[in-house]
Amino acid sequence: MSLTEHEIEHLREHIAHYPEKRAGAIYCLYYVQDKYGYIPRASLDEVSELTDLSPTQLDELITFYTLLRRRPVGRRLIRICDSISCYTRGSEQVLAAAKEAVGVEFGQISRDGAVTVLPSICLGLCDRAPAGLVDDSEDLGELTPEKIRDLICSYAAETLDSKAAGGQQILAVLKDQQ
Amino acid sequence: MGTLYIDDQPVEFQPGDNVLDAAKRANIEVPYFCYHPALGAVGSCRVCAMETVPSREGEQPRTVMTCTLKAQDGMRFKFAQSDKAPGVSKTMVEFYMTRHPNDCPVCDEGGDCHLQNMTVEVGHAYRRFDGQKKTYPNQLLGPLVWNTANRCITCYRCVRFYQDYALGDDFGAMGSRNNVLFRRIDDGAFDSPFAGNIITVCPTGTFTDKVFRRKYSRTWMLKKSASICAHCSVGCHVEPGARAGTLRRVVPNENSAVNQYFICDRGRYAPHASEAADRPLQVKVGGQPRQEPALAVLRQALAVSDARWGVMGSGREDVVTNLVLQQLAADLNAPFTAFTDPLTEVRTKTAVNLSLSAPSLQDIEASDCILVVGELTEHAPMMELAVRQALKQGKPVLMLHASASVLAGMIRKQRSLQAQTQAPVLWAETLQKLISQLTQEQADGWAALLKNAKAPVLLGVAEVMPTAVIKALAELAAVIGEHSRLGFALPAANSFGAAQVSQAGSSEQLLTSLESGAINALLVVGADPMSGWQGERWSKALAKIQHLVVVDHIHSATVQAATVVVPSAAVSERNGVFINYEGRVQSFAKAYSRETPVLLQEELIGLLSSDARARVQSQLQSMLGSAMPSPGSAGNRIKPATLPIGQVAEAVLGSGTALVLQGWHGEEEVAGFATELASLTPHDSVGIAPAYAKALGLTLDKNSRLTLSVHGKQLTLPVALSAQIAEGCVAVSRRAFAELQARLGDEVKLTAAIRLSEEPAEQPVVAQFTPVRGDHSNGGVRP
Repeated sequence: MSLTEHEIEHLREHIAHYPEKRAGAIYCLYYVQDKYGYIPRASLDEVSELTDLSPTQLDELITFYTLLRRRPVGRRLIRICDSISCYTRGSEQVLAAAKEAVGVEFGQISRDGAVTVLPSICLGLCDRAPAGLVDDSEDLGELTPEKIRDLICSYAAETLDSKAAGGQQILAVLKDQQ
Repeated sequence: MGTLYIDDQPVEFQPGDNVLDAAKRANIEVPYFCYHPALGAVGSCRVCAMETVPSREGEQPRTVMTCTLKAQDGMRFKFAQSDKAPGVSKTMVEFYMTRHPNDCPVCDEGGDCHLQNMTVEVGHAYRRFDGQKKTYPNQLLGPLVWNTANRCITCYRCVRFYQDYALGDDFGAMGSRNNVLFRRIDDGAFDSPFAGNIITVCPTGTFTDKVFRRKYSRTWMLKKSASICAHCSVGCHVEPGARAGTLRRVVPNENSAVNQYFICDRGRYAPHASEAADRPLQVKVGGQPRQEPALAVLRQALAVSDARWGVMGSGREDVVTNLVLQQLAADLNAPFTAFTDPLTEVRTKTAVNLSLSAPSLQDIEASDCILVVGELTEHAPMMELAVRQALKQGKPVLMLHASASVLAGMIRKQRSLQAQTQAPVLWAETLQKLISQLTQEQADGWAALLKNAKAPVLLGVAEVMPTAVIKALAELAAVIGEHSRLGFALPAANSFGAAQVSQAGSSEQLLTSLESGAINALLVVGADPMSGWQGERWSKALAKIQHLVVVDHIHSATVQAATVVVPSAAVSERNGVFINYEGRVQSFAKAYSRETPVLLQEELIGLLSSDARARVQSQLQSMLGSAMPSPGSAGNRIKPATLPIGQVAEAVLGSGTALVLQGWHGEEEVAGFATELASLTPHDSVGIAPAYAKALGLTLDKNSRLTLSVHGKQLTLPVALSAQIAEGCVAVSRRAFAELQARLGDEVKLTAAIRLSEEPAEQPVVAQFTPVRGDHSNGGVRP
């Protein structure tokens, strides 16, 4: 696993926009995460070279921001809000239903590689509580245990196209897990 | 200076104090966690609360955090009298204790714990929260520091020390909100030479001394004393703690005038050499143990009829011992030296002669332009920590170096042009160029920075600097002007004192007298000539003689070759006087006595004639003045007369490749016997710059190996490619120098050797703790 010369060139160019190299760290980390689905250890060394932040300092950033992750996730990542508005509207039951539907703990990948469920701090969707977020882009509102179960089933039914972006990657990760 | 009022009681404060400092000075017990005088205030723990007293009509009283308020004349606060403030502190401590384990009885920090004290002080005794305590995974942090993550109260002091104060970057705060952990990304030992200080700054038992853990004692049962660190020439104030005749831990002596709050890891862990399993503790003559007192055996040994004696003192022995040995030599009509290597002797003396305006650590911290020559971190870590303080404030730090150095890496990260790699033989020329630029009007670059600085500091590492460079640096200081300060990291704790007692060329004289057979017996106290720079020459010379009497507390090569071994006291086991790199005379006091009695070096005076004793006294007085400083005090600085130096051949500029020293921060003659610290010694390698390797026509990668040949000796080592190594040089460790019987600057021939396996070496995730010497299964504690 390593970034290609072309990718490194692109990141260097981006970092050059900032007065300090380390300001480009978040961009680089997102870039790596978009490529692999998560940020592997080896990539920290690469980003460290580019930004003059040490791997530990990059890990400080990653662990602080919930949208960055150091572990692989399933094809679909579902975040379900557990902050106060959603909690009062029943997010606990939604989370419990989601966990039961994927059959593994929060943060782990379901056996078929389809879904990872994560509890999340406030997503800013309090008006539609209990709320969720799929793949950091698609928002879900007024969730119920039934709705989340249906959603997870539909994701599980998606055919895994090994040619699709990230498909190979996930297959490789699952192979490692077995 | 000014006065503020707490509970109507006037409190005097010093300039720069905050309200908390002032209250502490007045012995008002205000609770606090996150504040530390060296790390500053962040106001995050919310414990040092007081209530303001309104001074104007209409103003409301406010609860404030006193560490974040600068003390000003006439300020008024309520603390004990306040209705609110004590409640704030108590509630905050209660919050911290909802998560903190109640393991004080089994915690290493128990009885010496800031959190425990504060909890008792604010009166929190009963846990109202009945939820579960959170638990966190511990991390393995190598052989020196132990982590118990559950005890953390997230005051951030450790990271503020490690990253913000000491500029380390391999330890940080992970996570957010109530899920914060202080960790490294991977398990294993810290990179920073100052990592042990997180034990000291941590107000709880989250980070504890792992070596102390293995020979634990409750801290109130330790015998302590005001001692001086004996492991480099800075002379930091330390407080050894011992019990049952064994050393258990060493901590910085806080608020000392020399090193203030911190010590380096070498200072903290190297003294554990006194607990090495192979430490000589028995008087032995010809390998046979003797029951007589050590001094009687020595007297007997010195009275052998056919012996023509030589006497050797050492830079790690104190001033009095060296003077006594010098006079003993006079009594015996014997040559005396306190150095093992002629080259080091000349360099050290040259540096001592030029150290009259040496900067203190505080001077270095406050400097606005620093020039460092040589790898400072690896020779005098605490001096380098002071340099880091200037670097952190954005002050220019210029550096000339030849091998890989932590400080140079830091400088390069900020301003790449301010650290230059160059072979030591070229340093003098570079400094001369700076001098000529400074004398002419148009100074630019480095010269301009030095010229425009208000308090420039020049620092050198005497051991690795050719004499011409030491002199050039002094010349540079003179050209810059009287406001500049020049100091040198010297090879040993008392090198300054050792230089005062040795005649010009004394080590060469002793060595040649041995080689020529003019003397056939040698008394060595606290030195290990057989493993120094001239190790091979000494070994050969000493192999010929019948009487080798060695007084030492480590199982050195010379001890192993001795005919008479007399065990002596380690620094924490005795009183004495060291002179540090500034010429500061500091005395240290004995913390404990060993169960098996060892020779205290101060007893050596018993070997002298009464005349010689009087000479020692008068010399001591002329050297140090009448008043001996008390242990723990900063001591006074002496300005001795110029020393006669003598001549020695230095390496000259050749067309080939020169050998330079690759040091590391835990390296020192005694430190090598401290099992835990020594286990971190980097693997031997030969450092070479990729560009230089290419210029030599060598194709190298991380699996390559090189064979070094010097004077017919050969050594094959794995390659460590680093751009930090000067062109025309390869960098190797002291061990490799000894193996090759080479000296600094010797020319070396390089040839490519068989590669390591093509497979990239698996990096171990956890630093393996492999004791390098002796049995350590019982933690070094003698049964």
